[in-house]
Amino acid sequence: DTLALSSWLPPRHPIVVNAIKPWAQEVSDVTEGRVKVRVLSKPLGAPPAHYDMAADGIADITYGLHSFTKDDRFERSRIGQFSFLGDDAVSGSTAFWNVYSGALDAQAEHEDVKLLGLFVHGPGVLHNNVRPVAAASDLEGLKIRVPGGYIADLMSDLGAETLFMSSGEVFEKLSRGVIDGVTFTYEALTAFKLTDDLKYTMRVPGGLYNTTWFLVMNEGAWDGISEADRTAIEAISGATFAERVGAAWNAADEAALVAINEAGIEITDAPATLLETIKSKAAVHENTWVQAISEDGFDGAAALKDLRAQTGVEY
Amino acid sequence: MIESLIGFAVLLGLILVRVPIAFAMAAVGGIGFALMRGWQPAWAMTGQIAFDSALSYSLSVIPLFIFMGNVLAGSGVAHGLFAAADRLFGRTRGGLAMASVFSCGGFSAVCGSSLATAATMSKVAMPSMRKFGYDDRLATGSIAAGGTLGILIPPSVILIIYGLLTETNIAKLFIAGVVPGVLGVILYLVAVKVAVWIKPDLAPDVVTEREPMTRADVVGVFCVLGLFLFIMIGIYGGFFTPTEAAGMGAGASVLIAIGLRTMTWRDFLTATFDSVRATAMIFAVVIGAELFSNFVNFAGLPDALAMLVLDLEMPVWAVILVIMIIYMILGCVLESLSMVLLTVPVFYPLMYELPFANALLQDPEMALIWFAIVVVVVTEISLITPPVGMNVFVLKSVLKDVSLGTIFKGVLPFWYADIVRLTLLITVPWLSLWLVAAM
Amino acid sequence: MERFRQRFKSDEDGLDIGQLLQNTLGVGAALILFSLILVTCVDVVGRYFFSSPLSGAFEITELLLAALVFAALPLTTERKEHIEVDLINVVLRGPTQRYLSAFAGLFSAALLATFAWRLAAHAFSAAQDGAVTNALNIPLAPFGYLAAFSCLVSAFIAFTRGIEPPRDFDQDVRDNND
Ligand code: NA
Ligand code: NA
Repeated sequence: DTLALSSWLPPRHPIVVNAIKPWAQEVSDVTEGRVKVRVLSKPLGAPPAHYDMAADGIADITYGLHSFTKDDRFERSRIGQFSFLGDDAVSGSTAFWNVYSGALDAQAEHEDVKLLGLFVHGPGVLHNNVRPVAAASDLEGLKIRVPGGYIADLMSDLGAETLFMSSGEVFEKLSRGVIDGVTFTYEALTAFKLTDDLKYTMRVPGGLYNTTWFLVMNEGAWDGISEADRTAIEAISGATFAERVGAAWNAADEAALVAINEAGIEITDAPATLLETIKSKAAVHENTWVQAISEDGFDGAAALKDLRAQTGVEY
Repeated sequence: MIESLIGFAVLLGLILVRVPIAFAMAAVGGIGFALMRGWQPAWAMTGQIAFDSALSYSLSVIPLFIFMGNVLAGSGVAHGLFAAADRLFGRTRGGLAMASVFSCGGFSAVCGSSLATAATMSKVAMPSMRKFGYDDRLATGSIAAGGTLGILIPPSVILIIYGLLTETNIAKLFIAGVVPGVLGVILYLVAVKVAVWIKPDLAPDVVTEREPMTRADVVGVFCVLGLFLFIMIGIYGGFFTPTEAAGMGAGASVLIAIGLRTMTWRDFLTATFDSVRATAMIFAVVIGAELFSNFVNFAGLPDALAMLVLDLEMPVWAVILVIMIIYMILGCVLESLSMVLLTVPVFYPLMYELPFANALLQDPEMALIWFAIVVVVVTEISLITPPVGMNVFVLKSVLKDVSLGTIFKGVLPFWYADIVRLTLLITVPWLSLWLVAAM
Repeated sequence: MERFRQRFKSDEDGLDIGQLLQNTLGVGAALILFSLILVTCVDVVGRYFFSSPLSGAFEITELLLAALVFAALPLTTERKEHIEVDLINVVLRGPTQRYLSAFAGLFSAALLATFAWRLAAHAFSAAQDGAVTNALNIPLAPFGYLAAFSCLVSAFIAFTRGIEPPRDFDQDVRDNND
């Protein structure tokens, strides 16, 4: 039985090359060829449609970001978007899988699909080409491209002017001076060829923000697989997959850091006062989220604490 | 693989019995997908693709560039272009036909569509050529062919669509079209010369009496030149993105129309309504093609083709030759937009696979840009190839008393010139790429 | 459609569906097109001269484009401006042409009706999920309902043409933009 996996990232993206495709191959290996996964050469829909595409059976397997569409469906996934969550993608992804699929019952929020994997990328940082950010006042008036969601709110709380655009447009807007900076991972700087247009990078322990991803399979397709093969696939998915994809992100971040150092971009840690400011602003958003999910009987504060304990971020 | 070929056959059948191409593609794509994956997924895909395709930031350039071309067409600047070109060529045999070709090239620099270029220039250039006794064949042929340059010389709707299908930088695609476009103009001028040399009765002996060039004509030329430079400098000088250039160009065209005071309010409304209808027409094709290409992709045609090419170890030139033959055959019956939307997703992955001998094409991005220009030129050829040549139909709709056969005969010299150009562009990729590399 | 239109036109101050569409959806589409131009110009000019770009220009552009496409679809359908390949009519005679034309009309109507249904379903689930745009929190569902409505109107137009295909076939091709 061959399952179709719709992949919207560029075919040479590190996640596709080092995580999605190897996983697809491994599915075939562990099921001794009874279940094959075909990665389509072109996606069957726009990136934001990929969750629904798996639910509706347009494709059998898809991956994507929970924040692609802004709606009420993945409220508890937002635990993975906050600041100070993890310094690398392996520990971050593994902890996110453990906490969200465990205490926060991720499967319940992923209705109509089989949840195979959850992961985050490397720590998000703040890049700009105007000045090093050492205090909140340095952020005043900086035009920062943000992806939306928590980090957009946090940046505007801190006094930056936030702008929205597709990530593919960041290069042009940055080189044309429309924006002064961007919240991104290290990897994105090289992926979008931004190293020549940026000068300063500010990081905080555990990352300034993150984005959360899913790997899901159509329920009917999952049910069509034999019990033994499902167990075999589960063994290479979940936490194992989180580790694999985390390693792929880490490798991409490390390669990017070499290029960033070569380009002479100055990387600094947020000083203690600024860190305290960020923490107090971040706490407001965390509390709002904790309140929201407590209505459904989930303990967000404990979950956040557990996640940070698993990744070892001092908080 | 076999499913895709059946799909293509059914699609051609529906198109031949006059079902609109957009709806035929959507139906075959949706039903084909349903037969392979089930109805529920196909239903879901239909709604989602229809909505998402229209909700696209990059595609917003389509209505904007179309509107820009339509407003400029109505504002009378094309007359100025023709009058100026007449000054350049008017004194030689076939001079007016050469002026038509030249001014078509000029109008292409502010109009993203071949059909709109041909329609606009035919209204300006035909009356003069008829007045001075040009043979209908040469007169219509020069405009039908000259108009095809609209999709090669930037801005170009087809290059934008290609850029989106293949994720290639649109600014680079635009700059790549400049040299091949100029080459097209030159070869068409040569084609006129050769045609009147072989058949002197195609054009009268030297026309001495020339239309006077009015002040409005001069202003018109400067407006076209200025707008083209505004867009190009805006994009390549780093002031705005290609997507924003369309909005700025559309805004500037309205200012030009107001400044020239040649356009009535009624003409302006007509240009606006024409633009919105053309937009819906194009998006219907885009949505249909998206559904069809999902079916073809799911059926595995692009993968199968790539495997086939690698297994057979075909030399690069043979692969390109086969692709070009397929395009020439499809170009007989298909219309340009649907041809690009249907074929590019199937063929472009091959550009990654083919180990090009030429050093310039080692970079897959360069190979994709070069392929874009080749595809656009072969699409231009399809616009004047019988039986379905959209540019020829445009000329026919403007000049009801001329037969289709006459126009198709008239484009023949230009068709030969196109084959020469296509061969040059395929064998010398540098022609398309040196400006890109120089930027 | 032609006969339909004749029938309506025969009234003193008759109703011309083409004119009616142009005065409603057409004017709406035209205004959307002007807004589209304005959004880009304000964004670009704003950031160079006043150093204040339009924060959500990206999203506004996307939504305006979707609204423009679907508002204009019935106009395109009414004017028969969808691209067709006019090859077979050279060979065929009148009655067969009429049958084929009826087939093409009903085929188009069925397809457009399907689109209307699927778009409505898509919009309904977007409404249920509470889907909004990332930056400006604009709900997506209304745009889906607009799209569904306009496909339904287009389907109706294509249907009337299918049951009463025009007698005379105009060979001319309008100057569509490709
Ligand atoms: Na052009
Ligand atoms: Na043709």
